[in-house]
Amino acid sequence: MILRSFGATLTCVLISGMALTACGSDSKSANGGSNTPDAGGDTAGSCTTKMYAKYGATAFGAVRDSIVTKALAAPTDKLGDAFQNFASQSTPAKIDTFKTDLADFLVMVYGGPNNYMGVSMTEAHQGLNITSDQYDYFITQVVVPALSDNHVLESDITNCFAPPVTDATFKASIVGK
Amino acid sequence: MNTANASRRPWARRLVVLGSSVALATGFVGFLHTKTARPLLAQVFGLHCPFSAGKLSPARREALRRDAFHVTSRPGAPAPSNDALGFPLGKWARADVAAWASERHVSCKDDSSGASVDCDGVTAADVNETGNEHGSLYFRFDPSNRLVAVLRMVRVPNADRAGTLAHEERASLASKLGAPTLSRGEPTAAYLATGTLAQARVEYRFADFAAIASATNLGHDGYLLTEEAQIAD
Repeated sequence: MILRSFGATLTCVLISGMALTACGSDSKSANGGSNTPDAGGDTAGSCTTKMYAKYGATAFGAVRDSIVTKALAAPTDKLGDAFQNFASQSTPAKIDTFKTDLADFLVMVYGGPNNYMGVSMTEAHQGLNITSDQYDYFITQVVVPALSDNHVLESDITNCFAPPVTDATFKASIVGK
Repeated sequence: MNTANASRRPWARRLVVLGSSVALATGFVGFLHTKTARPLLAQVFGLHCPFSAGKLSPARREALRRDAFHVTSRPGAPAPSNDALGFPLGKWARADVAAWASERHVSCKDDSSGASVDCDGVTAADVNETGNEHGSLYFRFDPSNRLVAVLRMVRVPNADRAGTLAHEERASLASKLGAPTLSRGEPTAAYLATGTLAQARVEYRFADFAAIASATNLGHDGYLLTEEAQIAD
């Protein structure tokens, strides 16, 4: 179970990492409650590694915190045992360590300094038997709302954040392991 | 020879006794670690099976769910309805869900935690909706086997159908619950087709009930529609 929780932790790291791509949002990027996609200047995939420079460390931290909070509070437990086990059994120090790892991963994925010291995604998710439904639930009910809550531009979500997390190869490295 | 055999018998007897004792002890310890006897292990001996160390107890699992609910609930106003996809939360028991699945020939299985049931191949008609789509249903129970949450996930291949279903989903929720607490994106094909991870989402949060509906463009994986609801206690 410890391994399970650890794996789940890294799952979150990984996916969140992708998530934060678009994240960030300093005030300059906020578009609040807009209901229409904005016309961003970036095209799909061209901006993924520019996100850290665009939004900065503070914004990445805010989205990371949002992702962790939402994952731990997944209403119907669709994400399985791992996140709630982690929340229930980890000390504050371990949760802080996890958040640091998550932030490092996100920063790395989205163009910042590479300080991530974790294992590969396949290795991290080995034995977790994550399903396609669970993966998609995490992306759509945790990551996307976390980005939106932090006023990330819709164009950044679709153009910069989406490509890595919806990449079939990346998803395959996590699902069914 | 007889004298030698006689002198060895006590050792043989001791070995048999020792072997039997080890076998019995091993069996007893093994039994204590079975699903049936784990409560005995915990209550009588104050121990937990190390092989299930990561498992949450049903009570702890439910406490975490309730804590998470209250983090996002809206104090004060009770929901006008606790119905979710035709399932009365807080009123149905696990046996009612099993009977529903049996009657509709829906394939369901308990998850490893024992707190929930996953059903696949659920048609729109099974949840009193229109359309030809199949999806999955996830039921969550409290320790007394009372239904406390339900989640439906449906995948469709194109934006037109996703927009139609998202619009119908919103209209259905609005007719039961009124104006949403949060609304993002538009439940239209045009909006959902703007890019991968474009999402139309509504959230209803009351003191005693919450419901969330979303439609999301997943790129090559098509469009995912979700509707989930849970009660506070």
